[in-house]
Formats: sequence, C-alpha cells, structure tokens
Amino acid sequence: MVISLLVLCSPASGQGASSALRFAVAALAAGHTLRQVFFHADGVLAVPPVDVPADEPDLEAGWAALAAVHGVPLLACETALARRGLDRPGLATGAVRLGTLGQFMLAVAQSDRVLSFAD
Amino acid sequence: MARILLLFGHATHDGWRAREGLDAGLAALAFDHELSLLFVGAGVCLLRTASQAAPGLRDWGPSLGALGAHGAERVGADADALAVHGLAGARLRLDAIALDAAQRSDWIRNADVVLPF
Repeated sequence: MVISLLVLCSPASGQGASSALRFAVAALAAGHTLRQVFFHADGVLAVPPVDVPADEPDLEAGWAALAAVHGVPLLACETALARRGLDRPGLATGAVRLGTLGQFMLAVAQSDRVLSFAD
Repeated sequence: MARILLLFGHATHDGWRAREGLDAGLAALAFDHELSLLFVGAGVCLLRTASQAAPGLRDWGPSLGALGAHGAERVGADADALAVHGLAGARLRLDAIALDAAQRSDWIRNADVVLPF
C-alpha cells in the first residue's frame, strides 16, 4: 500500500510528531511504501536543527535516518515556515526539503491512504 | 482524485491553524480533489458573518467564500457547537448543514482523507 503522512503538530506539543515517526517506521517494516511525509502548520517546527537532551527522543535524527535508508521524501511547507519566522537560508539542508501544499495534494492523489497526525 | 474532508476545529484567534486549513482547501481544489468542509468545536466561529466577528480579528470571509465558490461540495457544522457559540439558526458565512453526531461520523467515515485543522 502507498501511504502519505501529514504531520501538523510540533514535537513539543505532545505525542503526535513522535507517533508519526513510529508509524512511518512500522509501515516501512511491514512492506508499505511511504510516498511522502509532509510537515505543515506547527509540524514544521520539527525541521530546524535542535539540540535534543540525551534522554529525549531525537525525532530529527529519526526522520533523517528514514530518508537516508528508505529514500522517503520529507517536505516542509515553505509558507508555514515563513509564518513562524523559520524561512532562513540554509534551513532545509538536511533530510527535510522545502515544499508546497501543491506537492502534498499531488501525493494525496497518488496514495492509497493518507494519515494525519495532529495534537 | 480523493474525497477530502477538511475538519476545522480552531477559531481564528487560535493561532494559524484555521488559516492553514484554508490554504490546504484551496490547494485541494486546485488539484481537483472532491472537497467537503466540516466545522466542529470552536471552528464553527469561522462561520460567523463579518458583522458578528469580534473587533480586531481578521475577516476570513474572502478565503472561506473562495472555498465555497470554487467547488467545495459540502459544508457541514456541528449542531451542538453552533448552539454553544450562539450560532444556531444564525445566518452563516457559508450555507452549512447542521449535523448531529451520527451524521458527522458518516461524513468522516465516507471521506478518503481527513485533514484536521
């Protein structure tokens, strides 16, 4: 099955962002294809590099591993980043690239299932 | 194309969420998805007409109107939330159908994709 994910919640606002990553890992392990992971609204707060305390889960590293190992496209809404003052040059140099809602809607059309993770 | 249900649960004063939901709706229509709108909780406040909007808050009418004018198939609102927010029987920004819990569940169940904003 081809699946796309929409992440709408900040890593600091609850379990949603963490659940999205765990779901993505489980879906790939079960043989499904991840067409796209799109970070929108407060979900884009997962994009800027942060120093994560050693005893807390490092979601950024988790997403980066997913992109590196499985080639999952990770896109963050450029407009949502700009609204939060996060559209700095060089921001999306890691695993997550800048994207648009149009790219997400195209992925919706090409996916069997789309799951949203919100707080 | 997918049957997308946009679920609005946040009012205009509650961050960017509603605005970003409107953006998603316009993008969905641009890609010819079948779009329905469902307003629940404080999200029904988005349906207030300009004359009812609180002073100082942005008028979302043009954006919501664009969703309606450009092809949103259905618009529904949580009947209980409309009552709680003093909107039961009021003139609304869009022609929304007041839905009870069972009807809301049907709308959600019948959508291919639910996008909560």
